[in-house]
Amino acid sequence: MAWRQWLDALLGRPRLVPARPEKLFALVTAAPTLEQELGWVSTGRAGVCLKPVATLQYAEVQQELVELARLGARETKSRVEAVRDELGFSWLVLEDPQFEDLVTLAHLAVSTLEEKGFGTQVLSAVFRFQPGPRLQEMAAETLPSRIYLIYNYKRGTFYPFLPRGAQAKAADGRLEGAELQAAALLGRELPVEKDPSRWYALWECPV
Amino acid sequence: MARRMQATADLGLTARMFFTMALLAAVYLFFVSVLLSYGVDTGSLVVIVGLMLLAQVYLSDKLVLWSTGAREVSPQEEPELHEMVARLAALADIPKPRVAIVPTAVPNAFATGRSPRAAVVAVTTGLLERLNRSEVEAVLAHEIAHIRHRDVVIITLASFFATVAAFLVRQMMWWGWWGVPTEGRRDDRQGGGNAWVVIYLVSLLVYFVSHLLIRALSRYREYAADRGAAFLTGAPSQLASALIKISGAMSRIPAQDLRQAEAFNAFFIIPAISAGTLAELFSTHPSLENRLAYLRRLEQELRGR
Repeated sequence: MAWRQWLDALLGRPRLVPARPEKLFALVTAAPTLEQELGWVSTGRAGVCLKPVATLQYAEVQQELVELARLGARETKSRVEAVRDELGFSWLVLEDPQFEDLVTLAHLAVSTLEEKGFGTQVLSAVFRFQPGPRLQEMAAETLPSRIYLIYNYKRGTFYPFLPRGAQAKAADGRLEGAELQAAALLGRELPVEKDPSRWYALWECPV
Repeated sequence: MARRMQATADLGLTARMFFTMALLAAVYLFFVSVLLSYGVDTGSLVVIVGLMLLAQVYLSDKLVLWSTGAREVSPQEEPELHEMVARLAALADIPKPRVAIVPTAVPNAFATGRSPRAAVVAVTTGLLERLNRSEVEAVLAHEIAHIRHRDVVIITLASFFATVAAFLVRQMMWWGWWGVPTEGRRDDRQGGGNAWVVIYLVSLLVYFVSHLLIRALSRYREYAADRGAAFLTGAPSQLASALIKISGAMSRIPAQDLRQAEAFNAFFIIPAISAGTLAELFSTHPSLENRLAYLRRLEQELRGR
């Protein structure tokens, strides 16, 4: 596909990359490893981040999506909320104590968007974890207060995002060492993003 | 409806760009064949030319950053700017470019770097002061589109040949002035004299025509970047209002600053020449009216008419 990218570049054809949702479900089978090897315990919160389009059809689709997710949520005792962050991106914030249902919910939301022709607008799915008992003995300054595992829909890969400090502010930076370590362990079970320059941070994250 | 977002290629634009590039290639081919037919010492020429090209491609980012006084900023210093760039880069599926700030009141932005991996996005302090968040985002998306389309390499390569022509014109003038042809050709000095005149005229013509073509190419690539920005932000009107604000502020800037900024026009989002002073034919950017008209068309396209 490289030649296609070069041709697009040469001719200046902007093309948004379609979503690659297929690898997301690897997360379900990797969940025990996350807890046992890394000491990451799900907080039951996740979010789908997407770039909204400023059209009426899109507004309708988003409304439809929230309704649909709420309908599905009633059966599995989960919660769905649509939020817009400070940078103008849309979030579907999902809550479910069952990790598997959380992943399914995220998948449902993205496949609905794809059906309506907005698959290219989906950026990532973010899953939030907290340090489990295995991590509690670590020194306080290296212990992450927030743990995010991000699925990049453009590339179909996962990567860790561990903000330093309790506030998760960009000014405090990231725990790069812990991220690299986590990525190495995650790589056994999940398709991990190999290029760390694509481990995009998500600071203004409502999850 | 399902295909609307995917169908993003503008056939007319692509065709015009292809035509311009084909014409450029034809001009260069003609240039090289004329040079060869008159027996220019190709060995040394190729070496100099190769070095020039390498230097231009590899040093372009450092040169532009240094000459504009841009300073690279860390995510800690400018968290919001970095966050916006990161998200747009993720959407466009390119590595996150470095971010720099130019301390000048002229509201502007540019992207540089030979590849998406080595790219830098720079904005001026004037831009951050005058534009609101969604307008800044639209400008960043325009620059990200430039990076994704590899416009620095494409315009550098195109300009390079024009530079070679200009370089030769200067050499010809030098040699012509002192009446000394190249070494080892003293015996056929008389025939050589006519040849130099022809080469000189051809070089001059090549220089002029290729510059016009490069400008046309640059304008089409601006439209393509506008289009890319519109699709990345999902709102062409964001870029439209940013362009209006930038150009509005532009014409109020004193001439001193304008002339200083002029050398880097090809890399800026809006060139620092006030509207109406130059015909669009000679300009690296389309006029504001044409860009706004194009963005209106994109708006309709996005809405499905």
